[in-house]
Amino acid sequence: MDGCNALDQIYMVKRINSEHKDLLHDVSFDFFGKRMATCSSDQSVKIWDVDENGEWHCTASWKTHSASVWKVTWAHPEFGQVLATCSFDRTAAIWEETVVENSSSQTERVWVHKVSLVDSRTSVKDVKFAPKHLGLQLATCSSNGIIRIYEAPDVMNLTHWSLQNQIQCKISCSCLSWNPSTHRNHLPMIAVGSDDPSSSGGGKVFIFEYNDQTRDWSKVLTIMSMTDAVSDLCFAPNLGRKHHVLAVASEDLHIFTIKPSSNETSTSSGTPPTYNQVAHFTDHCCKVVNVAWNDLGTIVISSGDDGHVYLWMANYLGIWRRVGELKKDLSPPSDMASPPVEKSDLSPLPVDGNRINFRRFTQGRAPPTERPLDPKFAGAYY
Amino acid sequence: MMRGNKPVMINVGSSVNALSLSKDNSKVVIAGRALLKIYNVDETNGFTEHLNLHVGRKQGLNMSCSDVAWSSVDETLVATAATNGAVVAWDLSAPGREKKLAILAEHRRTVTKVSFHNFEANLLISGSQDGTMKLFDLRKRESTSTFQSKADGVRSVQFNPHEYFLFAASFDNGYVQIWDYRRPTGCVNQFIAHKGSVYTLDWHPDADRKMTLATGGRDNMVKVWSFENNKEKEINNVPTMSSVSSVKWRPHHPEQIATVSMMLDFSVNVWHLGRKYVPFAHFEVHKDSPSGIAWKQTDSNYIFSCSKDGNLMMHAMRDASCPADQSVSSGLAFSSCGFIAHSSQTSNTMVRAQSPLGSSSKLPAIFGWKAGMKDMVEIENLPDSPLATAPRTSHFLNAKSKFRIFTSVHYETKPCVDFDDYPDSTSHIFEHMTMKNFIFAARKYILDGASANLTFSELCHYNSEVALDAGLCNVARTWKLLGVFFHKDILLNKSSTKVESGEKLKKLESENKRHSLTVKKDEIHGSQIISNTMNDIDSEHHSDDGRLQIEDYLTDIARGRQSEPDLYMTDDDPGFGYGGITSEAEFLSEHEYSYVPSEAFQQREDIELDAIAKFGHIEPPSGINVDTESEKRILTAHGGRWHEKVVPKTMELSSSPSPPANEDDNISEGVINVRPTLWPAPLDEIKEDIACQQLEYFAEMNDIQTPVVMLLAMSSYPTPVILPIKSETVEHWQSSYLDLLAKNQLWVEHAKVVKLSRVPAVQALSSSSTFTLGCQVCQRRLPSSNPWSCDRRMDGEHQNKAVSCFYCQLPVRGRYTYCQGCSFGGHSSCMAAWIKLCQANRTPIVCKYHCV
Repeated sequence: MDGCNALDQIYMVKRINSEHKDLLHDVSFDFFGKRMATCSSDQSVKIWDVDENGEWHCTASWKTHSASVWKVTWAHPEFGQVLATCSFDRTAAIWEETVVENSSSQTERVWVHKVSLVDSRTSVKDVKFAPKHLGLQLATCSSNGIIRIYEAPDVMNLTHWSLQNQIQCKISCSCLSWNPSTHRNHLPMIAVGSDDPSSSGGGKVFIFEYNDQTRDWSKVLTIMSMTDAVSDLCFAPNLGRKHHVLAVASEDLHIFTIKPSSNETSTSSGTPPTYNQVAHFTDHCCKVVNVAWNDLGTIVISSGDDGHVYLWMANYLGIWRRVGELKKDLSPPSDMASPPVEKSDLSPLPVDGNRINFRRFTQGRAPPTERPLDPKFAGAYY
Repeated sequence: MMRGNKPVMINVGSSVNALSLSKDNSKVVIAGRALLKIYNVDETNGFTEHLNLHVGRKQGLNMSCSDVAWSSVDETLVATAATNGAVVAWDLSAPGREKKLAILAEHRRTVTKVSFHNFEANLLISGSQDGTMKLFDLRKRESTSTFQSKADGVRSVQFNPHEYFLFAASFDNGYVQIWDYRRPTGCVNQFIAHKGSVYTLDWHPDADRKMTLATGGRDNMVKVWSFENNKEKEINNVPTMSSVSSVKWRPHHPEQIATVSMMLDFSVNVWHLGRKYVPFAHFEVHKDSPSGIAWKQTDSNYIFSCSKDGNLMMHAMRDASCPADQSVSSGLAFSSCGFIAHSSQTSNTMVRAQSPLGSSSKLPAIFGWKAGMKDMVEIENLPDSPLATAPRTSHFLNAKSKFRIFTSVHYETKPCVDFDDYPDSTSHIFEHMTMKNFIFAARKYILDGASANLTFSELCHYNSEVALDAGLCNVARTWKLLGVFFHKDILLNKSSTKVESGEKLKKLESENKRHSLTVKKDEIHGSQIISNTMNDIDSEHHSDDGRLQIEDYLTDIARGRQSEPDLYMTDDDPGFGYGGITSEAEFLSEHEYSYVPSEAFQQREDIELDAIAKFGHIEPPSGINVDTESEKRILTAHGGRWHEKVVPKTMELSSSPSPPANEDDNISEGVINVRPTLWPAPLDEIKEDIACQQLEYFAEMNDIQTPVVMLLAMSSYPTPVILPIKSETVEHWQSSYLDLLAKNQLWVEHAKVVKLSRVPAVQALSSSSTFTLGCQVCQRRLPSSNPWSCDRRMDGEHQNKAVSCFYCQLPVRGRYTYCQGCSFGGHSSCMAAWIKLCQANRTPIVCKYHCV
């Protein structure tokens, strides 16, 4: 079956020397996927642009904060080339790329610091721009559990951001995600995950909705089944679907569908949203640390603490299954300037045509998938 | 976040400015504005008050302490620095309550720092805001030397612990000076260490690094200097979060240094020079700025700190939080161009491998991850274990990120030639990751049939071919079905219903057709389904005589009309409705219905064969023979997987007993599975519902392209069919689709969708770049027929005032070029000439903007 190394045929892996002096914490593509921003503990952000050969080049690098930069995120290009960063130094910052004329009257592009959002008293763990249709809004979450919503009243003036709302989450927040749905009747929604380590603390994923009448955000849902610390979560792009899909990276990978609150009658007492766990995978033998979606909202990409990257996809019946794996290559890191091109080391599950032997874990925790001993690991002692 | 226990702490009630430890580290002295106390330190009992030196009511400014130092040679000697410029020495062994040994009031301004000599108990140095340092001999009770810094106020001063005669001082202007106290005339070396004040400095305690100095300043930096031949060299630096008020090397850990900050940051951080960006250990327990820190010299796992909120604490290193451990040091992102970027921490596996307990440590991380974690925690919590910090340190230092980008390579998707072809799973994933087919289809689809002069049926056929080329079999089939459903309702020309003469119309349309002939020919060539039928036509294209006839035929079949003149007239008349089809049905029922038993599905399939053949407009006009072969192909083409979704829905609608959906079932059977006697009227009732359901199904299955394009195609004609879908839903679909188009930078397609959309919110997208021009005189909107001049242009005043070129003053009839900054504009050539002229004369262009 030619599907036995499906991703092998699709993806080529390329190691890039990021030249960050410390750990990378986040990588983010812009709206078109042609620019990339990386942030690191070395307090800097680097911008990478892709050339026509698919090679990435670092085109800008500058110090952004006075401590580890946790996250970097791009605004919609409608607002310009705008970045937001957040850091351990308890601030979030807005950066804009502007064209300036240098001394030799040549134009060059520089990233200009627009504003620092200094409201937080603790480390700002995540920052995300709202979907475009909500205007130029920004949400941050701090490790003391406060979520802040900022808005730039004038999109031409990025130096002025007003704090619109401040939501108390009570426990340490680690990640947030805006619901990207553009549906008129879907209220603005934010999902927040907590990295609180105590498993007795109840649910760790909270859904907040904006109420137009009270002009405030309120918690409408807590996913009680998520008791492990959450390190990342992400809403799927909503392309005309009636429900929302949320992927959560915790000890395991979880995928939830969230039925939006029914406020179509615009009465004050709409039914609150409900959730349903559609997938729960324990295939990662460690903590799942990141999740991402493709543009169509059909494929979940998840990465574990051990560097494995899996791809997940639902079949036409809405049953999720693993479709491929990008295994961590074990070759020693190369510090050469020109990174060697390697073939990705892939071993997707056996696929039987279109009919897959999928499993569905909807309740409880299924035993981890048994994995054959990779010959590379046999006898590997560190 | 704290790991483990709370620190040993006491609140002394008022702000503490400094602390110092006794020689044996069993006592700590703290000093504040009205505070000078000595506490016993005991790990089990915490802090207990030993002595209060701040006795009596009238102590004056001599007792307002800014710094305190405890001699490291003599247990009984303590010195304090007062804000009024006095240095007070205390003899703790003195009997009674009065323990002052000497008051050395020699400085003219606040003494900021006092420091004892490391070997000579009686030598004490002080630094003051007056810019001098004074060396005191406590035996003489006066200063023996005064060092004029010639710089700014002194911030910190300290004897070198190994070089007998050397001391270092730091200043408010960013300088650091090294002095030999035997030579008070001038410093040995001075250099600018920081931008702004250098608040603190600390000599390295190790003998082999005796000439290493750490400084911390207002510029948030900690810098490490070494001196060779009296020449300073910056060997390391630590960028911290806020201005550094105190630095202290950790004993026995030559690479570690503790800092506290002067403001904003209330935490105590321990840094490792091997990884200078992340605090190695982090204590966040103070509620106000910590003012002083000191390592327990006898056990470097403990650090004392005091703060402005009056807290005195002893932190254990094992209780520290590790920001590096808590951070997510891995990133993952998906790019619209098909890249996946992934960064991960490489040292994770190493950590677990170092765990010395348990068999799990022998295995690579992925096998023993969770067990390994447990081991680690247990080890670290053993307070006296030598392993307590070793693995953590190496883990900390070995942290490295691996950054990879997965690039999608070109994957040759197997072309889809038949409705039954289904892409293999690899191409399926490939498509979802790269959206190649989406882009292909978005480019190829014709949305506006009316302006492309295609009848709805032709449009559906063309788009079906596009979908098939893109490998979207279900979509291709739905296009076909839409064509079948709505070809009678969606007409190319609204006026056609009013035209009496069929012949005239035919001619008219065939005239129109000629323009799009090439397009059609392409279509026909591309067609694989009905190629058999079309072959005949194709061959006739070249004969001039045949052309018109063929085109008429095409028009007819495309519009779902029979070529028989008697049926033709009734076709578009709403009163007669489905005349053509009705007669078809009657025709069919004559042939087939009589044989249809109520439950015989197989017979029905035969009916549909004909029905579909008719609906699909492949029935040739009389005179052209179609072999049954082509009809058969169409039938099988309609079979396949589609039924899996649609059959149950349509079954409900038709309320007929639902047959078990097996592999041989046919979708078209499901769709037209209505009671024969009611057919075709029910089809017209349910076809909109079916179409809606189908579109909604696509939307739910994440294929937003199909419903949006179909809706647009259906509404783009002068006689549109608007499906009963909620406008919010349509808006949601269209905005989602536009978003995807924008992501793939398909701007032309984006503009087309915006133009064709009937949703106000989507239409508004184009209004932002639309300008309406008004007459300068009467402010009325310019007519669209003559957009360069006002309606009343004959009236002299309005003449030439509408849109005139600023350069030649003539009205601009074609393209109006203008500067977006100053809004001056005119003919493109005039603008170019103007700029050229300006450049040639070296005069500035009118406005500050560079117009081109």
